[in-house]
Amino acid sequence: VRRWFGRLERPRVVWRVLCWCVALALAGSAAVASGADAAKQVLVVYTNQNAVRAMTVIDAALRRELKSHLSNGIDIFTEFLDAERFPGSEQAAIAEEYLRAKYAKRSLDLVIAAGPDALKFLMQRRASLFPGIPLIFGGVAEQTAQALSLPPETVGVIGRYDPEPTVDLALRLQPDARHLFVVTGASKFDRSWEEKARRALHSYEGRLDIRYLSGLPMSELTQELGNLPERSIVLYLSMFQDGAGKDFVPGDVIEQVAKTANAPVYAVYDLMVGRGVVGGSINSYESLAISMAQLGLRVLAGERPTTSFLAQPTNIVDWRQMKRWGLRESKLPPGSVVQFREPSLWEAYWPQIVFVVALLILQSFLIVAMILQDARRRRAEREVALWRQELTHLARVATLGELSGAVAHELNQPLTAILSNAGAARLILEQKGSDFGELQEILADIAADATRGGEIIQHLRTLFSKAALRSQPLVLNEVVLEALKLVHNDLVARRVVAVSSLAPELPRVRGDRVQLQQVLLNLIHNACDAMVENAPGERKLVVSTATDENATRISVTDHGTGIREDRLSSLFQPFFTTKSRGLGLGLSICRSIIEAHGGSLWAFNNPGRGATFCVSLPADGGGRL
Amino acid sequence: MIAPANTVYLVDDDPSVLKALERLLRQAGFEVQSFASSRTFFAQHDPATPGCAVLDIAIDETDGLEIQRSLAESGCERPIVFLTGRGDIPMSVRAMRAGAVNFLTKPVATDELLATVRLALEKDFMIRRDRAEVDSIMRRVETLTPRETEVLRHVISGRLNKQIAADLGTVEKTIKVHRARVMQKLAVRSLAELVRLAERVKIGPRSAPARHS
Repeated sequence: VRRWFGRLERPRVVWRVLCWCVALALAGSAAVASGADAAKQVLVVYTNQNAVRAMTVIDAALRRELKSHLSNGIDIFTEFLDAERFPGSEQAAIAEEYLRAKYAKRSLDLVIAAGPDALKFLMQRRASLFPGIPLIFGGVAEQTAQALSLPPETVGVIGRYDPEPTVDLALRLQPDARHLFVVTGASKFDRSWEEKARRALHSYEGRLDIRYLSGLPMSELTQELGNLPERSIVLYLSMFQDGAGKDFVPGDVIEQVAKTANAPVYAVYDLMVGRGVVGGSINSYESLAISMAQLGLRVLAGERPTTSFLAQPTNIVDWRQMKRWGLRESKLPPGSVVQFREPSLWEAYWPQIVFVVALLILQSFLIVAMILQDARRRRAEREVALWRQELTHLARVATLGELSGAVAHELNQPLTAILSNAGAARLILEQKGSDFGELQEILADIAADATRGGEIIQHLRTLFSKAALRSQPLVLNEVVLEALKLVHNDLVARRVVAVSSLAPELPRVRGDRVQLQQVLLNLIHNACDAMVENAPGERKLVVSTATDENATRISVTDHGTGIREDRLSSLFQPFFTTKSRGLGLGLSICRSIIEAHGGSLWAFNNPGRGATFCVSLPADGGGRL
Repeated sequence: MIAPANTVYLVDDDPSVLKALERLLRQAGFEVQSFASSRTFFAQHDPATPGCAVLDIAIDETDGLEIQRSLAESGCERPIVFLTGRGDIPMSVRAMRAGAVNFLTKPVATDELLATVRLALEKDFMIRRDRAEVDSIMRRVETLTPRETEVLRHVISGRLNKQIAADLGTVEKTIKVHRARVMQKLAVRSLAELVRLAERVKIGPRSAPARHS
């Protein structure tokens, strides 16, 4: 029973927890709603239209800055007076009506005036439009601010737009400059800039030849700018309208100016950097907006600051334009900002570069390792070659050892002849009236046989010798015949009939006589072994030579048992043997000898009976000899 | 001693060896017929000519041992001296068993060779003399009548005349006559001589008498 209760109690707990969750969620959403009620409402009034990039940059920075510092949220309204294109009090009145109607139901916390016209507009209508609402401003030149004789509670960020610092910067970058061309347009604002420049740059007259390209039609201006003398500086100030009465956005003009001018162009406004000018001493809109936002935040927090503060211009240059005109970064005054620096190869691609360099280093290590390994391998190869030579020699000695009976017999023949001749001579001398003619003949025969014996020994000695591979032009048929002669007695003893079928006109091949004979002896020996079980009359061995344009061939054909198909491939491997005695090195050594001659050695079973071993040597005696 | 017929058949495929051996044997006073191969040897060999053969054991496809066998099969008992450059023991045993006079290893000492050849020729002489003797006996044996041959067999079996007469179903006297005629035809004077002669021509004693003895 208790169990049942336990079971029933558990859903009750879950239900209770769920209720608590719902309550908490409701309380949370209520809190969020009350926070939304407390959001600050800020109106920003801009002088120009929103297509002027300065406005958009300031707007963006302002919003970002304000929003990032106000946790309860903020509503930002923006208005663009577009005063440059819509000047006059009539237009201002329309704007006033519009704003009044639009913001009647809003309780604004702060109004921000961006730019001189916006400030002027708001100062005149503040009392009726936004009574009691704090006003701050930014982007207003020092003179303008003074001229407005602002009340002390109206504070803002005052900008200084002087041409001198920019000319100073230009002179630092181009110390040898002689000419200064000041470009301004035909609008009122443009004209005010010209006046300001003429006043400010008066002190430079001695050092620079200053010309004012003011209020020219665009076509004329570009013409002029394209034909500037050497060592010139172009200072672009402002152009909302050209001499022909055409309206422009100054930021767009700068691109054309910078493109056509054959001298570096400097400007005083932010955002022109990056559109073809080298740079200038500039109040950046970004920092202006940040300063405005900070001031606005203080006001929104309830503070009532009483002093405006002055924006400090910075030297800003375009790295790409510096490069274009060959201006050196080292000449920039300290604290200059270099923009649009194209990242160096390293900056742009450092991971790739690190990777590649690492790869290269790794590769170098590998190469070194491989070189070392190669050296080791070469050494090993030399050793192997030495061993192979040794082994070749031993194999040859072994082969000769097996032939020793035949060889001894070979030597016994002339000795027998000599002994018999000597005996005959003695018998002649024992008789009275010796036959001197016969004696002379006998002595000649003895000498001939002794020579023959010597030759046999000589041949044996070369076969036994341990000389390194020695290449010489060889008549293969001779080599074959010599080998056959050497084994003749052995063949006879083994009842093997050797037939040689030699091609008459063999080209010479290059090679080592002794080693080739070693191969032949080995092949012949194997052939004889293969025919051991044949009836004596059927032990036939054919040694033939043949040639085509590429190679000269020697074949040793037997009529023995043949080679088992599965053994054909392993036949030439070391230590492979089918004999009860023998190391199985003979054929592998033969093949290595032939390969050292640049040739090849292979075997196949005859269609009828037995097997054939073929030695092919390159006709030109190529190969590694 | 009667001077032996002295032809030496010399077979060796090495021309210079053949020439030198021939020269030596000639100088030693032998008649020499030399051959470079077994084939030419067989072509010209006359078994009737007295003499011996000196063979290189490994001449060509037909080696010395085969020549020896062929000669033996053809009934030629010519003594053979083998020369070899590399005689192994089994080979020499075979050769000697087959009746070779000697098995000499090259290079062979002159005196040894000459002595061996002389020995071989002597052997040949003996063989031929022996054979001639057997032939003359055979000729005399062939003059016997079957009855006389039968009596001879009984006589060499050591049986007495009386016993022989009983065996053959005749009288002793008749046996005596037969016996005297056999002695006369075979030109022997004693029983011992008769027995020896019969042995030479392989006339065996009568096989039957064992059961009476």
